[in-house]
Amino acid sequence: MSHPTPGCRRGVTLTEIMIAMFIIAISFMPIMGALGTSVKATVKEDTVVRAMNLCQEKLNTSLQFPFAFFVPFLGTPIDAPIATPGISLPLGPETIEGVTYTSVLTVTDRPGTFRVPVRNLDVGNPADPKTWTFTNRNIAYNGLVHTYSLTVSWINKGETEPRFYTLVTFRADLRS
Amino acid sequence: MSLHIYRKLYNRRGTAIILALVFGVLLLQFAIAYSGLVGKSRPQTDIIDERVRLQYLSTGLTEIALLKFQKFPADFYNCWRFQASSSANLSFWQDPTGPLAEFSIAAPEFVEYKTNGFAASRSSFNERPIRLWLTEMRLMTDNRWNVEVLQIKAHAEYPGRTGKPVNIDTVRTLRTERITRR
Repeated sequence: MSHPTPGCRRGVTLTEIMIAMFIIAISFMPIMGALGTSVKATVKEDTVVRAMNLCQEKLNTSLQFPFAFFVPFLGTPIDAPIATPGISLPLGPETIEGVTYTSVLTVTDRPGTFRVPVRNLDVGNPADPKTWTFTNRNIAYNGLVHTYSLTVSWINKGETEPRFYTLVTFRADLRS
Repeated sequence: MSLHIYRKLYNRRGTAIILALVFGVLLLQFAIAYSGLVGKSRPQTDIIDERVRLQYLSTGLTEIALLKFQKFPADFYNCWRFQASSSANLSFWQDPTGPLAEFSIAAPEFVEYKTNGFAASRSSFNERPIRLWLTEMRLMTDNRWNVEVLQIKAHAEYPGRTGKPVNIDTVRTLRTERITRR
């Protein structure tokens, strides 16, 4: 009967190594899958974040223009660069890292009505506010508030469906 | 050394497979934990979107409130004085009724989007309408110098992806000076 001597160790066989590597490879697959999904999502989110930043930046710039600047453009989507002394706003398409973002600004008038409680001057004691009475008056206005709507649209790499992001705010004519 | 002890010491058949299995189980656990983390983490876009869309709209509403104050300051001051003198509430500017509320927080122009929301501010990944309304319009008065601070607060919210409301309060504070004609 022959048996290995202490100096001659029985190590791992090629078959064992192959099986071990196969097991490790199999266990790596879900990790690679999760990482792949995560990377794809991050890349996709990057384009969204960039669109959001562009949208904010352009809306902020548009709010720096004088209120009256947009009066001739009311209701018309602006998709080309605009400028006034000291301020310029690039609108329309621009390509950043291989993705084309198109910015369009639409300014519209937002007419409305203010409800104003007006004190009845002939009722009550002027020195005692408790005795005062009020009557609500509805006062309509237009041309004093504009709605600013800025939309950035783009198409992700490898997709055909367009994406968009819109920010809206109101701006009042506070000059007078 | 007996044969039995010798085999225990030197028979290493299957060690690699066992090690690989242990390592594999650890990797699987790591993958499961990672997937759980990714699933629980909120996308960065959501966080920015919540802040930005709500912020712009609520700031816009405070702008309209400021315009109203600018156009009708005397009426606002009258409402303020009446409410201050007649309300039992220490924070009388929060009274939901009365002329001050009619001027500010209960005025139709400031609660227009409170129920159905404002739908025009949207994106391809978030179409939920934003509800917004004015919550406060108050004076912080220092009568000695006739210098006052007008504070306007607006609230905007929408239901988040999980159904939990996401909200933001915008505060606009500005110094006003009351000129009294004698």
